[in-house]
Amino acid sequence: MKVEELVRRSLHHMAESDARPDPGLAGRVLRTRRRRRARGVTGAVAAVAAVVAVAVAVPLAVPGSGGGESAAVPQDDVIGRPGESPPRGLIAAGDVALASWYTNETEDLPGGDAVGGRKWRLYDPDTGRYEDTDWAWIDVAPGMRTAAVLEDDLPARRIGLLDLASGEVERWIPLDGEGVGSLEFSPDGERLVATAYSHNPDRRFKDASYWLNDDKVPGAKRSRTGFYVADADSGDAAYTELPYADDPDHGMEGMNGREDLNWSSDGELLWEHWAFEPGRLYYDLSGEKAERPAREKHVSYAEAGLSPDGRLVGGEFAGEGDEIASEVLDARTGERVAKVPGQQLLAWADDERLIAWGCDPGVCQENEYKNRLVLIGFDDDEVIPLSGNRAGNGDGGDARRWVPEFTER
Amino acid sequence: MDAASEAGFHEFVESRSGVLFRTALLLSGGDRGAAEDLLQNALIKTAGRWQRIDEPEAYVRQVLYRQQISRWRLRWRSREQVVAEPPEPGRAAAGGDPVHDAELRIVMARALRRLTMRQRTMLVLRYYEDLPEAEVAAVLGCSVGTVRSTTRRSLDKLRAVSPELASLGLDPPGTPEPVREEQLTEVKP
Repeated sequence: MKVEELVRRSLHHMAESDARPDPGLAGRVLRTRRRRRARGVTGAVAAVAAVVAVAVAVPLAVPGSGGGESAAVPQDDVIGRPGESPPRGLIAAGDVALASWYTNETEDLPGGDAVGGRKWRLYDPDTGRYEDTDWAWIDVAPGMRTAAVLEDDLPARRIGLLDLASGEVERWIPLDGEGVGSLEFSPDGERLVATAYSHNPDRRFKDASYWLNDDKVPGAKRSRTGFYVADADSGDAAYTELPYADDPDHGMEGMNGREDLNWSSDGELLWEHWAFEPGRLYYDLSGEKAERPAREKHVSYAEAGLSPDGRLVGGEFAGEGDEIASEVLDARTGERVAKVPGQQLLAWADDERLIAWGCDPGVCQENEYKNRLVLIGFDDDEVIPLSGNRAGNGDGGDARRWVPEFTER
Repeated sequence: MDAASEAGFHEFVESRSGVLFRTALLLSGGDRGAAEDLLQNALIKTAGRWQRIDEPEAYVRQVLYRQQISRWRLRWRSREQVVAEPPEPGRAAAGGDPVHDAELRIVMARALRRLTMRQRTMLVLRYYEDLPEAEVAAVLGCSVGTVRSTTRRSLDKLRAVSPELASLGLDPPGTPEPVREEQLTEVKP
């Protein structure tokens, strides 16, 4: 028999085995995809803040904030805590720092509904540690002196501006209309976008249940009504109506309760994630649809987004098989210019270094979420651990499944 | 993905995951874990384009093959899969000698694992999918000449690493090869 025939016969015999993947493959695929996309949404807040190239204190003229007297955020180039997960002491690299982190928690309500939420920990410059908070939402402004906060229960009727040094809310911005469920500082720290909802966007309803694997779980309902743009200095807040985008070609009923609005990298436009091409929908500040900015053309779901100088884009997971890697793209052409050993690219430390979830060899083959923060220099291939490995307990709800938010320090 | 699409995706995976998994097993040289990763990643990509794909199985196969080749090309962590055990034995081919087939399968699986991922992928495309060289080149984005030379080197390596194949029916080197019909019509490099 010729070797070709022998190979052909052998391959066909091997393929006639009864081998099958473990049951539930489709569910695992869809869950993994959803998690990757969801993490892309939540991390975008930090990514936008990270693109501010110039280190400035947040320009808030908040009465009594103590501004310049507040404890300085350490400026050492790399501050890693490879033994800490979740982190206790400050983690920072280059121009950015881990300003806060949160865990997702879900509470079952009587009657079959459930409500999700985030348990936030915020960096305290006095103690140099991340401290527990009761805020329902936190976004730290570039410069890490002020944070915008929302109170439980969402949607919140006012926005707090918290001085990180004193731990006190120095200003409340009242909202006249609908309450809000999320906040994001503009890249220059001067304005806030707050997304308005008619009910808690993290509530799940029994009468919107769907099958997840073999369990029937309560589902989300849409309730976005619009957004406020608030001036952090004056406290003026203007509301604009903007319900969910509808697309006659794509039914999205019940997919997401939370559809937060984000700033474009230049602070001129707002955008929301869109499950279909082109991935994002842009609006001007009056709520009218806008063209996607050219510099953001190749920005994807990956949190890192544009590099500070706008030349590169931290791209999506590009590992094949059991390889852990993500791609870095030319922001102008969209062409891949590098492949780096990061599972998810989270934020640019500077123009040449990325903070990512990274995996030690062998660890992520066991569980892809047993990852740790790493600093990657994609020109010299250097990888520096910044945190300990997260626990690999899957779908969240566990205090060890912490989610980082980076801000310019 | 809306609820209807999700249901369609579930149905597709349920009905076709077995055969796709076995292809992934061939590509991974019988490493079950690597095959599951390979297939899962291919299906994640497929799910992202589900509503725009006319032939999902063909799409998944294309992703499987290209993933495998991309792994070989990577600057990072390019490595071979080495496994201790051959894949699970299955049914013997109809009309064949079950003992001989089982032995052949074990020897060949072991030999295939000694190949590079790229070599293995070429052989799977040529001799399992039975694609002409020009189509293999199109799938993998390389020249027909590369397909031809890689296939030849892969077969030579199989002979070299598994001399016991001779006792299982392999002709000795130098035996004239029959001309396959496809070779008369395919595009030259």
